[in-house]
Amino acid sequence: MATNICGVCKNSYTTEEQYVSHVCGVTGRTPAEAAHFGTNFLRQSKEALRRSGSLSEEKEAAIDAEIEAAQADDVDDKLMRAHLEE
Amino acid sequence: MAATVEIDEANSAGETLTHNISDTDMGSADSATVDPVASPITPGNNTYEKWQKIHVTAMGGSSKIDNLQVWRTGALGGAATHKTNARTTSYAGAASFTTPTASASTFTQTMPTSDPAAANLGIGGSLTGSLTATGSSDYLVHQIQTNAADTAGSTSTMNYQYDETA
Repeated sequence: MATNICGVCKNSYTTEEQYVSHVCGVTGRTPAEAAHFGTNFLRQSKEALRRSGSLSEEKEAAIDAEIEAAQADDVDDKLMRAHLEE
Repeated sequence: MAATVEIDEANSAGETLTHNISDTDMGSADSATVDPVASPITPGNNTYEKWQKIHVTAMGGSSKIDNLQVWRTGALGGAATHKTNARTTSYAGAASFTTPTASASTFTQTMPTSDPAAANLGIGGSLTGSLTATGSSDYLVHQIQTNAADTAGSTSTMNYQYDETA
């Protein structure tokens, strides 16, 4: 069975489901949580929604709140440090 | 909220999947974290193929992810070429994983160097495919083929774009 590795914390999982539900030791979030991917990803999410005409004020506000939460938690810095160790 | 989307890379015969890669390291080793200094490409040789896919880990309340577009920005240097299976027309369907090779890839399209303006990577084998639940795109396969006269030291940017419908 294929191995699934978290590219951030480097832990391995037997199944993809196990990977998606794990709490990353670097970000403190699961890969199903947008803030796990940092503020750049969250900003890109807005553009992905904008391209389909789906970026409502409500959606944008929700994403902006996630950006603030990620910033407060220094997620970008944690991700940068984890990748520097590769 | 929004869907959560990452880029994954598969390596080795066992199709080991590294999720959420931070960059695309191309060199003389089959690894998601190739060190270009430790694994340089001899001029005239090819990099190992990269087998990557766009993976939706959660839909976040959105209904659809589609219109996948991939391209490279920045020069390769010398006479190197960048080959891929990505294409906007006559898409050959989903590529079945094979152990990445440094021999010349069987995929011979040229990687776009600007936004292709249309889907060039499929989902479920089709450029009009979409993800309405968690899952992955078809494999994006790409390889840099160098020329004997090429010199080292090239960095460029891979772009992976998708549309998300609420």
